[in-house]
Amino acid sequence: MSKNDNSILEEITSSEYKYGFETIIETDNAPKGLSEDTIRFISNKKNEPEWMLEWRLKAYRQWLTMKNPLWANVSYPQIDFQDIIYYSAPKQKKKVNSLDEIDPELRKTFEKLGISLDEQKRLSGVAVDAVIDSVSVVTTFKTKLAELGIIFCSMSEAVHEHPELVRKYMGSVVPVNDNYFAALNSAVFSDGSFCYIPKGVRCPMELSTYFRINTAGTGQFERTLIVADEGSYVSYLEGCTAPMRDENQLHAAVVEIVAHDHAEVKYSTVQNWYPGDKEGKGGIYNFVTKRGICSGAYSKISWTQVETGSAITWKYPSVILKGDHSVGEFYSVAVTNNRQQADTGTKMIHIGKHTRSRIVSKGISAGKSQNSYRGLVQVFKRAEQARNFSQCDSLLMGDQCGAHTFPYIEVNNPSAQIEHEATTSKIGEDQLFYCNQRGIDTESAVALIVNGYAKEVLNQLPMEFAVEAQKLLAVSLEGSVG
Amino acid sequence: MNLATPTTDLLHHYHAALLEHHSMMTHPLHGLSDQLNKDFDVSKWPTTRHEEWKYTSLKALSQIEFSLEASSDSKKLKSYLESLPFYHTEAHHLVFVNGLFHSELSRLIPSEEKTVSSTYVHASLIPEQLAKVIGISCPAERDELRKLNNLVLHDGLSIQLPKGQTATQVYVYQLIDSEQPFAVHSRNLIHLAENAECKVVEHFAAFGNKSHWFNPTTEIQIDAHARLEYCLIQTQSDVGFFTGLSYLRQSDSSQLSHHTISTGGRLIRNNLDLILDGSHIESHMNGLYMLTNDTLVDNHTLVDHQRPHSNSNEFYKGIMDGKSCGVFNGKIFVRQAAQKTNAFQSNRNIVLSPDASVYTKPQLEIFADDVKCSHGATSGQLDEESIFYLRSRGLSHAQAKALLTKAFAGEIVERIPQPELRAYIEQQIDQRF
Amino acid sequence: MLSIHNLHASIEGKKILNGINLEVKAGEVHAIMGPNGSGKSTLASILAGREEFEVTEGSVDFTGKDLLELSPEDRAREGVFLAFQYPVEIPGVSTINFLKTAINQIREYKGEKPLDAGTFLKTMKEKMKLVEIDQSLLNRSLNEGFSGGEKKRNEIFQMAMLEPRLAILDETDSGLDIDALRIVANGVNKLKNPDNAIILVTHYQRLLDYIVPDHVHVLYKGRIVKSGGKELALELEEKGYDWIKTEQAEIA
Repeated sequence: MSKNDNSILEEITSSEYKYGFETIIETDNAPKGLSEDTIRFISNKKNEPEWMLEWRLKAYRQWLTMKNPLWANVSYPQIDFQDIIYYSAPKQKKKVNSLDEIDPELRKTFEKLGISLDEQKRLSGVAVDAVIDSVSVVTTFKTKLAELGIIFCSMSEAVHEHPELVRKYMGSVVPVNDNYFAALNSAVFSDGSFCYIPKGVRCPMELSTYFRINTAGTGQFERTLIVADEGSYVSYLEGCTAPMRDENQLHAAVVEIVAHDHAEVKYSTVQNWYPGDKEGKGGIYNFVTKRGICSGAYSKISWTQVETGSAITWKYPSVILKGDHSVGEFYSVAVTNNRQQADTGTKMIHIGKHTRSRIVSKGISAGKSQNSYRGLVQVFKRAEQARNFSQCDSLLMGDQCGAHTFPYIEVNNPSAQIEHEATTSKIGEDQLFYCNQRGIDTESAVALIVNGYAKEVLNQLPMEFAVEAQKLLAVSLEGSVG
Repeated sequence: MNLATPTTDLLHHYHAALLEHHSMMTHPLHGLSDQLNKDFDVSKWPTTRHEEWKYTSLKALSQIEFSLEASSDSKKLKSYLESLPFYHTEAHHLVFVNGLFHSELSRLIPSEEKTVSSTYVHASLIPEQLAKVIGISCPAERDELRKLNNLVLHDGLSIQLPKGQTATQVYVYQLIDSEQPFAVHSRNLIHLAENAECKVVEHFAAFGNKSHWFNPTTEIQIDAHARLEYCLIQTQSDVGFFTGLSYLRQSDSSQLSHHTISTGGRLIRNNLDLILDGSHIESHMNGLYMLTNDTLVDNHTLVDHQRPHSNSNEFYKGIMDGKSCGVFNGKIFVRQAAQKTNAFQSNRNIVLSPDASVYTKPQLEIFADDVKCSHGATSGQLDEESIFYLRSRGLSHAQAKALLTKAFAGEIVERIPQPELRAYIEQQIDQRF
Repeated sequence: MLSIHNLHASIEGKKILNGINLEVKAGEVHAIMGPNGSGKSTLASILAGREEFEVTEGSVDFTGKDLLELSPEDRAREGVFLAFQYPVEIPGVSTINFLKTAINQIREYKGEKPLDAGTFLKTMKEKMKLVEIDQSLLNRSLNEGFSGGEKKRNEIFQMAMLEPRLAILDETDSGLDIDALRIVANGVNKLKNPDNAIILVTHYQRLLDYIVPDHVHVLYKGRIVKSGGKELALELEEKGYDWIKTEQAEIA
């Protein structure tokens, strides 16, 4: 690497996290620590029915018997679960009925993040559920969606308004005791989005949830549930940011998706939690369980993720392919820089006949980071004619980082066709020189090459997100080339 | 240790009996094996809860009552050996029966006595040479199986080649012939000094319908510019267990071709560790496994690129029939210093029966940026289009399948240099399909 | 336009160029020929700014600027274009996207506004005809999976788009069949004008049947040992490089 490149690398990797500001608003917090009382406090705050509280307490008791999983290729000091605030909500004078009634500070916060809560001002049709710390502050376009029978609201609201749907589906894909963090989430989840698309309805706009951690010392435990009834379609987006802090904050979310016969759900995430500083101080611990079930025939669930933030990422958006002819997809770009650690991938569980899955994972490691792909493709004995194709590529920038690939392939049916490929590469000197020779500086050349490398995944994102994601990649990485 | 559970009771007894047996006599490798870890702890016996043993259960093995005594029938062994085409070649032929060197059946080249012989012979002839190799795999010792081997240290192959020398082809036969269940924990020690060269074939087979177990450790040091060709052939029956470690350390510009052919056994677990401790190394690892019935083969390979400018190339193929299960776990490490590494790995499987299964986990761990690494894994059936093509040319469905299966295996077999050996393996494949 | 004076260069301590002197004026076409290993491609690489080579002595002046002081991208922005002997593949980046980035960076350097999409497209369509290149090729990842001929045509297409003042064609004829060679040469001829200059680096004379040089230089052991008009190329074709080698040996 030439001196010139080195200085560019320095410059870029030291670029500030753009979303690191804190909003000063009054909040309503639970006392620090976790006990049955904390759970009762949260449930009480949300005025929940008894069955919900019971569900939470059951989860909490299960969690107490479980252990923090250590198999992932990440390391971090033990989390003190008693040192976390499990509930924090911006104080609002009264219940918000219209968008005009939102606290102007909050409105400003979201505007600063580039999320307009104003329906009229939005160019393209994206309905937003805005979640700050533990609660959803507003959901846009609700009435318009309701005309089609689509339910899009905060989870708290769904518990009250649609208890039959929540009781039926919540925990049906990610059981309470699925894993340590899912159990914790089940006990203390505060808010999140709920979405139900009725039979045969094609949701006319992108649905989106925007998550923001604001208050110091809090953990965020949102829970999202998407149910797509027969023959319906929805595309769902998720974004997230957090202020810059020296401490590590825990984010343990659960996302569940159910797709019935011929239904299709596209779930896209641009994850940009605060990654910590250059020395690895601060940043979000992102321990997330995301899973979908293609319960019906010919259903399809597609996960797309662009992961650039968080100090530690631990997530494996998965698909259980139960319905015959169902399809699961996972497209991922995971970028780690400085001291970030990511252990991410997917599970494709082939149970039904003629099920198909596709995995495209593009890891990019820079700085002193560690980036792991971990995936499972499992073919059950009865899954006749299952097909999987996996492509896992790693791009390394500099010789201080690591790229790891841990694919598990388990085949129990002879008619399955499984193909897995993985490569590791770097940005070639010759590629950079070629760009330079055409007048493109090294910084832009790296952005160009990285975006080209990640293109197959970025192409899966809805237009609006794709542009955002491209910029994010450029900011996270430009110039970090060896 | 009182932690033994009913499933490991027999192991516990076996270990106790081994200890008692060894306390009564001086071991031929006495003085050389002192630093080896022999603290077998039955409570640490691998189970499927261990990531490294996720798909491979040793439960059946731990429920066998192994005897310390074995009797063999030389006549039977002789006729078996004579049926092997390569036994007749001009070469070193070292025959070990039930863990001990069988001089009657063996044929050595006396002029090469100091370079090629049994480990026990070299231990008294050139102990200082063996001392350099024995225990090099210790840092990598990861389970109780190795400790049992360290404790017993049955006789095995020793090659101690000085600078620039080339040894005559070596064939090793590790045989078990016993009326009672019996286990062999052989130890091979090989050191090729600078620019030395040799070719080794190690063949494992057992007789009778009693359970038997091979648990060998092979330690190999390949110095700069030396060249080794090593072929492992496992042809056990459905009562045979195999759990082995081959640990190889290579220096600058050395070359290795390693082949592992597994055609039979109830449970085969091969650990192959390749430490590339030098630059401009060339390493090839090939594997072919084809099982049927209720059996399992598990190939665990580790390639550790520690220095820049080396190449490794790994190619394993599996053909799973009956209720058999094929496991492949290939790990490639590229350390920070190992820039300009080229590491390739491929694992391809064909599943022929509805009850067979394949578990594969190719793994890359890369800490250097200027490298070219890739792995690929596939599992599938024979190509229907190809079968149809052959049938349209007049072959029966079975013939077409057999032909394509053999072609699939042939890609590995053709990499083996010895024609007699290739012929033998092809014959094994022909019998199967 | 370009003035090379006593240029010496080496790679990993090995001397490749041993005092090159060359004057190229606007409107001229120069051919640099020579046997394998004579330093032809090294000269092209050094002019474009490849960093593996170390310039140990001498100077290169390009339109009044010290070329050796400039970064590779600034040389490109000043109007130096190198058609690569082995064009590089960049997966996921289309030629169109690549060129748009390049053109806009060059414009920014010159203090000009970025080209709007319409104008870019219009220019592109025009230039595509020059090298008989299909748009589908330009939508594909840069050079990935292109045939040898397609890669070379793409180089000339880029040259057409970037309109350099000095174009250096490094063995652009190698690996081309006769039809591709004709297309590439036609493209270059159409791009030739009184304000720009072209340096053809080539081993064979055949390219010069299509692009007629004003000057031919023979490079041998890192030095220009013979210069002349286009007839020198024909003489070389006839007598082979051994003629030069013998002659040089005699002088030594």
